[in-house]
Amino acid sequence: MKPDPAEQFEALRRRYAAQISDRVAAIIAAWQQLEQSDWEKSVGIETRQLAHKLAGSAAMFGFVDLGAVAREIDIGLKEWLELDQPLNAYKRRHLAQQIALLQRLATESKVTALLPPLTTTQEPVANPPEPATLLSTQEQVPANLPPSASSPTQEAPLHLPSPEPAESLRKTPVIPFAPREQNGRPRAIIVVEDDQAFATNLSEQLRLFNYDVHVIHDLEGLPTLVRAINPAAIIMDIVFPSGDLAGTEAIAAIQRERTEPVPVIYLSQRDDFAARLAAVRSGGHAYFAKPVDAGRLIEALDRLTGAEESTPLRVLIVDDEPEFGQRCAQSLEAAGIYARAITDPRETLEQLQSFQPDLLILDMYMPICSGIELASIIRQQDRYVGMPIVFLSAETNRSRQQSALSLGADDFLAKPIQLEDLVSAISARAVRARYIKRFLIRDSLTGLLNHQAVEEELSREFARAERLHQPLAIAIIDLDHFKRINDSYGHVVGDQVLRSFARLLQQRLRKSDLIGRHGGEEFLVALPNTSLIEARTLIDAIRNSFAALRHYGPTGPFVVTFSAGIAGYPQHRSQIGAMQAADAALYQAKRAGRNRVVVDTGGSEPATVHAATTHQDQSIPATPAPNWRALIISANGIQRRLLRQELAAHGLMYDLIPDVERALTYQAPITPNLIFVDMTQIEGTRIANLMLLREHFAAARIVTIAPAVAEQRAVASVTFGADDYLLIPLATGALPALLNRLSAHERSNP
Amino acid sequence: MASLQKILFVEDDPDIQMVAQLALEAVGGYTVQMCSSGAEALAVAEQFAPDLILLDVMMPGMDGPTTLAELRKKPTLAHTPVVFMTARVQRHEIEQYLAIGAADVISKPFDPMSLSAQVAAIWKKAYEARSSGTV
Repeated sequence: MKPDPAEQFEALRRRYAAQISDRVAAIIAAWQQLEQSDWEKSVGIETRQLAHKLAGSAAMFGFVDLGAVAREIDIGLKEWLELDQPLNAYKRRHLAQQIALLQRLATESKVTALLPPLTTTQEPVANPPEPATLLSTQEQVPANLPPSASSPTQEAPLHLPSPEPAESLRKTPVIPFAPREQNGRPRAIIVVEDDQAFATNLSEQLRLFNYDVHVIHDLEGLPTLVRAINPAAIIMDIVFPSGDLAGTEAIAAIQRERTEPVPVIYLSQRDDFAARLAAVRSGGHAYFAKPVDAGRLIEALDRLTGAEESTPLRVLIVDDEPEFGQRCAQSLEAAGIYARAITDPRETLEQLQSFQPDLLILDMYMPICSGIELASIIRQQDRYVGMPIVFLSAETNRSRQQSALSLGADDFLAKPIQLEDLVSAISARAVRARYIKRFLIRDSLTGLLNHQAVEEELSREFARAERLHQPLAIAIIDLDHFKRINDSYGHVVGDQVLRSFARLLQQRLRKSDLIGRHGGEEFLVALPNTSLIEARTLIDAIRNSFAALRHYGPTGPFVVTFSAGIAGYPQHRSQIGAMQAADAALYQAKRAGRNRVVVDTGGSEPATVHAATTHQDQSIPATPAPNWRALIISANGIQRRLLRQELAAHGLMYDLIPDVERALTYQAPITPNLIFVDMTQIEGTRIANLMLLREHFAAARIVTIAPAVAEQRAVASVTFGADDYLLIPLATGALPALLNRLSAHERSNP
Repeated sequence: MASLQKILFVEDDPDIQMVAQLALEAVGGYTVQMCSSGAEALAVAEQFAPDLILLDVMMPGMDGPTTLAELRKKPTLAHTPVVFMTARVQRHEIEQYLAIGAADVISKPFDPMSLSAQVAAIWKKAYEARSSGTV
């Protein structure tokens, strides 16, 4: 018998997946050679060919993101090779960004390719575990867990640790706030399942994600129910008493009746090919073998029900002829693109900031400044390096067009322009740019804003809250004992937990709320126009839902909890102050036993908990210390937590960055004069990072952070250029002592 | 009416070759001859006598358009429909390819499961155009 083509494709896909890292490594090697050779053409051609090949095949095997980035590199290099002129700095930077992205995606695709198939050996769990437990049963507790983890506190979580919080909260100006709406209306889902306990269980999980769930236990009533509620999706058990594949037959009948097929997700004990094939043939869209991981199921549901709807593309037009700009805008809007036309080029930067376009159309010749000049101004800012710029001009001189292209334009449209050409010419570019931008500001695992983006957005929200005199609540949320999940069940399971949590946040918060992954298992949520009390109620409800959510590991289901600290404006007047207060509140929540939400008790003194003891024990230098503003560079969440608590306790301003690369592009809120850098960032092959830091932060002291067991390596770091080192966990008084040493040094070297 | 049976597939990337072979033979039931370069295509095309040629645009050595021009010089291949495969799908480029004699353009990456249907539709269109042209 001839093998099934689908299976053969799958075999090819796996083989291809296994080679991705080699292919990407070849591209990166060629790229490095290209940079070293000072952009030698022959090397460029070779690099481009490698990227072009990857671009041509990756998406065919399902690696769409990888293919898109490779295409971006391919196109960038092609442009350079054809123009026959050196690429300018920002195009080079853009290419370098794409190369870095490629590397990241290659690592991820390797993980995806190695994902094990869904298991069928586990029996589904009939009853949900007690909401407040970390793990549902004793035997599922990994051996290395300390007793505290399996004996959780049963009493209600402690929300307000101090007796006076009500008063400090009352100081919040009384401001009417908009009623909180969840993200869109609940979507109707039908669950068809003859196992009643399983059905109840599943629908509970789905409701946590804001789905309106209707359970039906037999197939007879299904067609009527489908007609009655017109569900966004059907979740269906395949095996019913009436026949081994009765579920798929029922669905096939329903789909025949409909003009638009309803998305169907099959669940089954069976994971054999015949069952999967029957599911596909009857019009099924996804297939899950039991036990079902709620997070994966929700991902599939969200995808099928269009929960992640895309917002219209945004285009900004700068043209001094108002009539022309308006006409362009109108035809773009007719095509569903959100367009805005301005006539004064001086407003461009402001509009980029407020309108946030995906693409920019510039007139080539304007009275105040030319399109080329304006493009150069825009490209000087890192955040707009990838913004596509299309020039409009009556210019037909090819060499002048080329010089514009070399100066940062992405395309040329000749005036007079056919309006339908305009739409087709820019929408593909805008879509691609948005796609790429998503990579740069989104965390690749969860799709939430990444560390840098969330901090940037937060500063915008802070400014807005001040301007409008509205409260702003910030919550720092940290999953409890997350490291144990990774240690016990592996990173694949840990990642799934992070994704489920991200989904839950997205489902339960408003569109206007800010949700970011701050790093590791830490998340940042900002709630505009929300008081601390409202924020506490909301985050606590999410805490309850999350604790009720079951995750699946290799040894069965388990439960994860989180702790959160909340602080906000106007109790704190600065972003850094509020962040530190939320951080301190989180620390209290952790110390009080985890799985709880603690609200900052107000006031501008952050983290009084820890300060009380350390300040008494330690002699603080008599002469006033310099005003230290610290930047912590570390990817290690635990290490960062330990250090920042200590810094907050000593009243130091600080900020966090996960790696040296991002530190080098770091901008406000603080100008650091003290850099804490994790030793692993400047050791081995990354030793050049220390020099880069020295150069970039010329006025700052550099201190390495190292685990106490690695003191020898820490000492070595000083010999190759660090100012000092700090061992983690911090010994009592270690930080003040360090600051003393640095201050003394500062005084002796003015 | 004549039917599409033999396809000459010219593509330098072995991964795409493999997927295409599977897509056209296992799914579509066609007889496929694979070539890795324009030169190779020129060497085998006359003898294989394909009903349709799928030609990658960007190949090292002889690129797609050059290969097409050379193929057209051979009398038996002067009217064989040639379809370009390319990642660049901008309209003016497509128009350029059609202008130099391509029957159609397929964008890469293609969906392996629907490639056969796509190719069949292109061949039918080209066949009908030719038949009506000669009537």
